[in-house]
Amino acid sequence: MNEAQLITRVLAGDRLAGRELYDAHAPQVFRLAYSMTRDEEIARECTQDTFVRAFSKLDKFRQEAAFSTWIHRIAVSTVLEALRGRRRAAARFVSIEAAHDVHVEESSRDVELVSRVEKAVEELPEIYRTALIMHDLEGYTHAAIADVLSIPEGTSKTRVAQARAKLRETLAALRD
Amino acid sequence: MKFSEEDGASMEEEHLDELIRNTLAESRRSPEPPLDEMWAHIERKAFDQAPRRATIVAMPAHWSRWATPAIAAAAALVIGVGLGWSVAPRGSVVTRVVTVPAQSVATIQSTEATHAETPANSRANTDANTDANTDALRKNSQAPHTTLAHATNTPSASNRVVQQPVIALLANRFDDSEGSDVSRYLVRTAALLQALPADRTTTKSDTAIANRAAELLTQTHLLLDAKAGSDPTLHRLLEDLELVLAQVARLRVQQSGSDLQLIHQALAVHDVLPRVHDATVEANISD
Repeated sequence: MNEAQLITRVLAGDRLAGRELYDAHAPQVFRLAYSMTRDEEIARECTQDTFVRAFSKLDKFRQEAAFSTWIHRIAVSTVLEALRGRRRAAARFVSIEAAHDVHVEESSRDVELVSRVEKAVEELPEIYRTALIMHDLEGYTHAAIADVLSIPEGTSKTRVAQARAKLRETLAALRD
Repeated sequence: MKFSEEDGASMEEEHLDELIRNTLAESRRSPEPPLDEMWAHIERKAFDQAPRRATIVAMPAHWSRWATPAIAAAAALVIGVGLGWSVAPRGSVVTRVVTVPAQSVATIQSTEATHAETPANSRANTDANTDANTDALRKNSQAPHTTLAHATNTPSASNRVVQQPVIALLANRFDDSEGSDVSRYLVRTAALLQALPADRTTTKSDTAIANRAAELLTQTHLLLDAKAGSDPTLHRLLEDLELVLAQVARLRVQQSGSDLQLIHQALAVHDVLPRVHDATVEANISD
């Protein structure tokens, strides 16, 4: 059964068709959510919310774009929303740096490297960070990123390049 | 084989990029997704709601004793309201009273009248108020909501009552039609913010941008008052947009490069454009 048929079946209330669509896309959505949040619990919640939102709005999906692009668009939006909420809460209750330190167990050099790179990634503007993670970590093509984020392909390339340049600056400073 | 300095720099960059990628891949390696556990939650939320809707139709027999008169009363109410709308004089029901702070009225008026047409006294007052507000905005850029509230609640800004034509989005619930109004508004706002020049260049287009910002600012106020504004995420975004648009609208009266810098800063610090994009997706998720 192809995706269009699965979607029609889901709209008719077929749970098995829903599960099939979910199985095809959930692992990648979860991986992306985890890469963007570094938190298993939040990644799990975001994946769940993504599919709940997608299924509840499936009647609006006109199948002009691939289902995969559509579900990733919802996923990125859901994750960014969760991260903003989390950042607001973190600003109120706990220092982010302190929270990061809890997970670090490597040698002091590696600890500093990971901590600096992660801090630099967190400090990137959201639009650069999202493009960088999708491209460099999750292996999305610039065309796919452009589709998901509704931006031109050239903009995706620029964002990834600028994000890398920022991170290189951070690493160069660490070497000095 | 010789390497130029440029080749060396490029190799160094590639090496650093790889190191960054590896570091991130290591620290952000995803665990196995708990597929079944997540599906149980999704199934409950996405599929178990349909039968619940069905139970409203399949009413238990003992309910029909009181439900039938209640439905009849509701139907009579709907018909009554419909009749009321149809027989009321034109104009009396197609207007809605909206309370707008004087500051907002000044902004609305200034979009309609050109600066030259404004009487000297009132122009001076408007400029003075706007200057005071902008100063407050600058001083308080970390707390835009408070600043704006302060600016519109000063004793001098006594509230006036303005009659506005009913706008469908105000009268309706936040349904598909309002969603598309919000979506249209967000798309227009995003286009305006993206069209902002990076630095101070006094051109005719600056005035056009400022005028459009004033128009969108009015729409922002209306949306904040509407049902759409009761959604907390959208409300926060509208409040941030209100602040930014107020600053952009001021570009037409003050020619200063620092104003533009402040606007770009506000856009970056509050992630305004990505949030506008997300809200647009949310208002109308479609392919």
